[in-house]
Amino acid sequence: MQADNTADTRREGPHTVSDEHELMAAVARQDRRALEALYRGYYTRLFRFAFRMTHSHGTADEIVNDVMLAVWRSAKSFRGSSKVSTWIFGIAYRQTLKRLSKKSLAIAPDFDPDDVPAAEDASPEDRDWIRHGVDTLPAAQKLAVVLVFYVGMSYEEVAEVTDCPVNTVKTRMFHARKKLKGVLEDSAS
Amino acid sequence: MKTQSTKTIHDTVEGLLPWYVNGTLSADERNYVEEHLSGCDSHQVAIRELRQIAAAVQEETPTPLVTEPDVERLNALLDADASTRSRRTPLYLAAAALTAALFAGLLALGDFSDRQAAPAVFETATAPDAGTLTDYVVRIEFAANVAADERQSILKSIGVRDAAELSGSTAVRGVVSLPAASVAELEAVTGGIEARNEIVAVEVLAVQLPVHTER
Repeated sequence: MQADNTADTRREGPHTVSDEHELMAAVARQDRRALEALYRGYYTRLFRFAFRMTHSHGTADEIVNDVMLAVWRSAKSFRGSSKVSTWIFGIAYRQTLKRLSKKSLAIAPDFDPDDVPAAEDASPEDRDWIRHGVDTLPAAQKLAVVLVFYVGMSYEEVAEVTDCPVNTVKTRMFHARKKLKGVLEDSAS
Repeated sequence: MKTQSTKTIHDTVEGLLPWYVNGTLSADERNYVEEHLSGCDSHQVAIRELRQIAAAVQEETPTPLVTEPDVERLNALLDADASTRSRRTPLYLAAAALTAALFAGLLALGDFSDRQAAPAVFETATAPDAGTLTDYVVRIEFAANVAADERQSILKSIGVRDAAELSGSTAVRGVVSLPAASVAELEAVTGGIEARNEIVAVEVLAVQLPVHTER
């Protein structure tokens, strides 16, 4: 029979905020089933975030594993003052930044951009230019753009994840937009 | 209530635009932005640009590229992590008893916890000596194809003095005393040799206590 301090992780689907806090408490007690539940709940979001940043299937996979290992090791340090998702994405942010800062990681897409479905409000050519522009942004700006538009975080959450003042986050987004605007203008000329 | 200047409002809205687009502003902030937008052409252009950026960034990775979560692999990762951490634990615990047992000839204490197939017999590569505050007892397992002179060379390179020959049928195992000034230095040495292809495993068994404590 399972010990009393083992989290009930049998429930399928997304976890509520209180569920996630319970899971984190269980992970802090080194309950593997609780970590598995978090892993299943966050895998796709973390993978897509990491893939969007690195364009490497293998690297994205490694980042997700590194994040979960870090969650396992440092769950005790989670004090519950923030959302679990913000805390986990903070780890993912640092892991991704670390990978991006390694010279060995070239931006080498292992998928064909032509395969992705079309988005609204921009021509396919413009979207390609924008994506190319996002890839050429400095890592901190690129991460901010992805956290805002891909993960959908508020400015407070981005500030917490990146451990920066809100004004720094806003400044990064401002500069990112200016650079991407320049990319689009260059593409038109 | 203090009225904000037009420039202040413009600058404040400028900072909020990305989150207006991603829909995470509070209702008050959203109203604040929308009031300004109705009379600001440059920010209307900015909103269009940001929506284009958002649309491009939000384009989904094709589904087949997203790997399924692999719980088995996660568990293997946790096992490996636990094994690594347990190997370091004795440094921080009362290792003296283990040291005493080792040097009393009770070397058959069992194999590495994660290597149950290997025999539980180890050789002591260096003769037990008085020891100093800075000697650590380390069990090293060489790969089976490492020649004797190469093993000696590796042992000497990490500071083992007068290492005796180690023998073994599959892999070669032995207990050595490693001089190190601190745990950090020891970890640097053991980490360095653990990364070598010739080394299968390194396990820190104990801190060798000094015979003479007075200096």
